[in-house]
Amino acid sequence: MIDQIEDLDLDDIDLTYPADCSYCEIKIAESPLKIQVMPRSVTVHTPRRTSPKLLVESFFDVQKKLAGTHVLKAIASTSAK
Amino acid sequence: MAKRLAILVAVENYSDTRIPAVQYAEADADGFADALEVAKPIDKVVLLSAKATKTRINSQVRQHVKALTPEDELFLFYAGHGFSKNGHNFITCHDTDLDDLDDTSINLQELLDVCGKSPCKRIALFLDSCESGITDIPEIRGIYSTMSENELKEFFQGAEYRVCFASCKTSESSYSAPALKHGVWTYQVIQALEGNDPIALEKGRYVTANSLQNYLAKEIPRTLRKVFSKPVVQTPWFHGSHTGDFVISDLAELLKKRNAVKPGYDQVKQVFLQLEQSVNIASLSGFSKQRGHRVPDNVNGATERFVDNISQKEVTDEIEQVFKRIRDSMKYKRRDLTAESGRIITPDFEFSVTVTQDPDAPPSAVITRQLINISPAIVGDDAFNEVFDDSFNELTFEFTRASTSRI
Repeated sequence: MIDQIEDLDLDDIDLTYPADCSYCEIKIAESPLKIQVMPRSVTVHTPRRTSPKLLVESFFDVQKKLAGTHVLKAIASTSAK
Repeated sequence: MAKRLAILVAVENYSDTRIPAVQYAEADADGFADALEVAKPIDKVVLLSAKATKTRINSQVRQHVKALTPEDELFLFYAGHGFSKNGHNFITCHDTDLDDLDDTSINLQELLDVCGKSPCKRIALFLDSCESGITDIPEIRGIYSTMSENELKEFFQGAEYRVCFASCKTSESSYSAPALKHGVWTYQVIQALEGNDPIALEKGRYVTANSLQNYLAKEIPRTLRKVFSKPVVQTPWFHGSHTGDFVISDLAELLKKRNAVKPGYDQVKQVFLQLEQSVNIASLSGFSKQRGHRVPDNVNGATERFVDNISQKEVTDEIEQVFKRIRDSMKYKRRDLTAESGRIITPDFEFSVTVTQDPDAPPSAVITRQLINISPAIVGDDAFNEVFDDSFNELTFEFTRASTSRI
């Protein structure tokens, strides 16, 4: 997944991962949200505490921002294999 | 109807036992054929090892190429040893004799001539070979050392769509890797043709001659670094006419099918909301210096139990507060609510509080508030959101299976 996202060369996507590639964090420019992808889970982090409804909406917001990009496909395919 | 024909020649074993085997050559030919078929059905002529004699290769190529029409497509794949001698390039056959090398091998120019004379306009050659193993013979150099544009001139002259891909350049070896069970170059060609890597595609669907060569040039060094501990060099080689337009495979249908499967979400095991808060162990209610408590500087069974014991009040108090808020704001009956052992169970969700020693920071504890087993309908409920307003900062989707240990 990391390779796929890096190969897209997108300026507004910032990737962070350790040397063993055991997880990966994705930050999208102009979004306060951070996505953490682990082998068994995907987590959306907000910088501040919020209500369940707003947290779920934040997730859909991320999904919307990434819709049509290969980033979402890469995340999805990682969790589907 | 236009036909797609693949002639696949792989010489893994030689009748002359002095010629070393070419590891995974047969797997390469099979894999290449399968990968081509991913986009569209293809007719195959397969000549592996014992069947790949000089006579048979020449005869099969001549017969099949002659029968092609201008609308057809031809893919010619070869995996085996190659060499060049006195300005001529050769591919070896199963019955190649090391004592009579050039006469028992196939002059590549002759093969190109046969293809060149074909009315078929779309021809792609894939050559995964090098001179490795037979380089100690005098006058023999790498197969592509003299394969200049001039030599291929006739093949490409007047050709509408003709391309030739080769696994390595002059004096280089074409490597195979047990980890891949293929030649490295063919493995990457297969990855591209099967649509396994988006960067090999043009416009998100086409494997073209250019997109393939760009992909190979980028990926081969990376793969070599991964599979070999010592630095090795192998530079994919390519020549062609009208290459930008040569669509080798259109993967639109395949990718459409793959993307139609909604990946991930149907395999969600559970969704939960969470907030983790780090606190000093010394700040927990049950911590008492007077009772001889000390802040742990490591993590073990005893320190974990200690943190569990001294944090009971935090857990109980928080469960009590949240229980009261749920009772005040939501219309559950007593029988609908269960509050025990640090958790509250309702018909629509389950809330829990745990306090554990931080394995990464032994003097600290992590208070985790979690909301699980959430019914979708409750997420938009105002009362529910009022109870848990400003309560969480993480939303996690957990999957039934781990895809891999690396992301």
